[in-house]
Amino acid sequence: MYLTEVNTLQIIRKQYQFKLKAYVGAFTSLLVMQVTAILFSLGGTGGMSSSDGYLYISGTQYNGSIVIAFTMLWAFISSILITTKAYRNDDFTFVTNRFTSHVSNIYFLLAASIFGGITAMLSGYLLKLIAYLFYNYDAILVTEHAISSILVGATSTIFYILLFSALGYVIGVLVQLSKLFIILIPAFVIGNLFLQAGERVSPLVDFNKVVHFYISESSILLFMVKVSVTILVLFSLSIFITNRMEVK
Amino acid sequence: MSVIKCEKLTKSYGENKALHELSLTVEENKITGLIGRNGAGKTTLLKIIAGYLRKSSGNIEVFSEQPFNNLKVSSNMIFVDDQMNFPTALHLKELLYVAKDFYPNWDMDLAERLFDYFSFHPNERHHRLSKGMKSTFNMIVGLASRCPLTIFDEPTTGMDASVRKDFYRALLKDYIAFPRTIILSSHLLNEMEDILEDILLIRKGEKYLHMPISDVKAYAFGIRGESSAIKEWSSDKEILHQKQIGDGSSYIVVTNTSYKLAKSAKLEQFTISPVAAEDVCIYLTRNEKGDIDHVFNRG
Amino acid sequence: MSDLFVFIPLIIIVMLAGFIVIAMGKNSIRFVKVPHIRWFLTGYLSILIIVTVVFYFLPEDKFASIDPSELGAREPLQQEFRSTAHEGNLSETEHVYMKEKWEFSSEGKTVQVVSDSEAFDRGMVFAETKDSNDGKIEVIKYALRPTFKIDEDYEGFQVEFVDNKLKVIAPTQTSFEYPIFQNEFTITQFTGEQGGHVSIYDVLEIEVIHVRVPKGVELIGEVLYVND
Repeated sequence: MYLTEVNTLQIIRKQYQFKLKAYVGAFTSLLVMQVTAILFSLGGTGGMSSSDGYLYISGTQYNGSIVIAFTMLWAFISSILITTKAYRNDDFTFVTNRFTSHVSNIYFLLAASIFGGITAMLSGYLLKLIAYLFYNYDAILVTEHAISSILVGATSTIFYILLFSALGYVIGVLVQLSKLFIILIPAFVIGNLFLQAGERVSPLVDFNKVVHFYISESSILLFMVKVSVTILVLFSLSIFITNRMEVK
Repeated sequence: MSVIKCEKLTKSYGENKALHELSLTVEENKITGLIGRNGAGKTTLLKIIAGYLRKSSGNIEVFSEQPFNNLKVSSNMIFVDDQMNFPTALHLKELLYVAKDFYPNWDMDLAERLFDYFSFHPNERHHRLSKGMKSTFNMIVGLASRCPLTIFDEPTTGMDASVRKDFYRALLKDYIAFPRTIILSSHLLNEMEDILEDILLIRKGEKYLHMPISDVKAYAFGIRGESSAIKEWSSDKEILHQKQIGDGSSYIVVTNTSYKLAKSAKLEQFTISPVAAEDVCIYLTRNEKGDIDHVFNRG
Repeated sequence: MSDLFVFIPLIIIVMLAGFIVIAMGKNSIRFVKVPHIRWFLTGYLSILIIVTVVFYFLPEDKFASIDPSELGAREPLQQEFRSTAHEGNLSETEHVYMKEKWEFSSEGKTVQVVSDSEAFDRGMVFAETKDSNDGKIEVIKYALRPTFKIDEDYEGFQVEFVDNKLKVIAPTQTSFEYPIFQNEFTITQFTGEQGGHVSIYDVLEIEVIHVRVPKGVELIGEVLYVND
């Protein structure tokens, strides 16, 4: 029996195609998450009211922000899930090594994030259309909805979702490396939250600052650079720390 | 060409040594039975060969490469055991197509015929199958993938007798048509000894014996006779096994070398019988504390 | 945008909960597979795309389009509007216009300004004495145009002159509820669009009443005399 010559790229592509089929359930949970978020958003994603004694105004916001936030959480949790033993061992049933397993996972997450990002972005229009058709308003205030902003929005949404994917992935990988992280990570996060809530001691990592680093970036290009660098670091770290890990 | 080459291969978990300075060579296109008791290190050895586990020290080469995390080894090897997991999202039939995609030598025709023969339903899910059916499905994947190195670790777990027979027959037929290196690990040697060429016996992480099955069959002889005569005769022989038989006679198993040495002696008074390969393996891998009877023979 | 920070701890906690459930799970947790999910996904995406296209073709009669950059712009203007009124220099400018004008004949020496409303004493009536006594009280109502008008029929404050009293009648209390279609935070972050916080000054027409009384007549009540 002759030996097969290996082509890493080809194996990655096969693994990726395999995962599109095998992890299709990830899309089921995406659908459930987004539909739930849409239902939550039907009553408005936020509101404001003010009054001067004669006129009471109350505005209800409609957009897809909650759907996007839910999708980010979905990406985080799904990414942890595909690092677990059950999913990893599926890969090793067929042809793979640790590197191709990770890279094909990343490709899958990329594909899932693109789908999730586009649907999350467009779900805002569904909410607005429902509000337009079914709620009896006299006037609707609309901020400018440039068609080009769909492109900007979809791009940045995808990047946000990928960011959460990468974060979930590296956390999941750490747990595979050592179960100690099941305790260490929550302890770190909760401890940090308390430190942040208290005024006297400065937290180890100021989550607000971390969030600020991304959400206050007003240039889409710089934002993409920031997120790309972050996810590159997180995914590389994941690949690096598990390359010597035993499986099965 | 040798497919697997180990030199002083050691795998330790903390203080425990699952494998201890194991050296062996498996030649191309042979069916080797890996025999050993539970905990002897069979699965550890196979997983190191498959590249799942890392060696602790020593050297191992599979297809002349280090197997751990090796894509070439993974591409040319399939590891079938009862822990084999398949994605739960896919039907059995879909799994066959996934396997086809990964293994270039995959024979879909064979897979489908076996699939029908064992009456699998295309829409079933692997994780819902019974233990025996799981093993049967895994076996189909292992056979149809036609990997240059095919490893079956306890492949018959849960299979009923007739499926086991079918399996060994299918394995042999496919091996003859498409020779490849196959390692079968099991503790049920007797049912597969007909198809094995070599036997690799390991005991407590060490290689004990590696020889053609025909040599194993001639490795020892059983001798039966009056107890005191047996005792006298065997005093300088290597006894693998001995047993009292009710009527004041004994049965002992001695290695072939001891037997040859003693051929001149008066063996006529004893009944001599061959010992099955499986029994040889049992005697060789038995621990020093004697057999289970010792536990009960306290008096 | 600042709203988002409120949710950070909440989001972190949800993430943690998800993490713990998966990491601690004894049995491996798997995605749930639903039959025909591909069709559901295709259908879902198609609906969303169609909806988006439809949104851009909606008749615009119900839309009061907001230029996000103008949101909140009236807030500083209304301060300026009142102080200018206090200085007596109010005239029609870019956002200010003369909305209504009344003229009443007065006989007494004092005219009281009264109102039926509690919210009246907020510096909305400014008085100025004319150079001569022509026996006429002139009342001019100036208004600051809102960023967008939500009620075309809004008349605002009305003025009556009864029994030598200048009566300021408040508009009937109304409430106005409206939806705001905003962009998602992933868009506003880059377009610089503010969170779409519509201040009441963005939609309410702010009014001041400028009263010019004849020489020798005094206005009493909640009135501010313009500074000369």
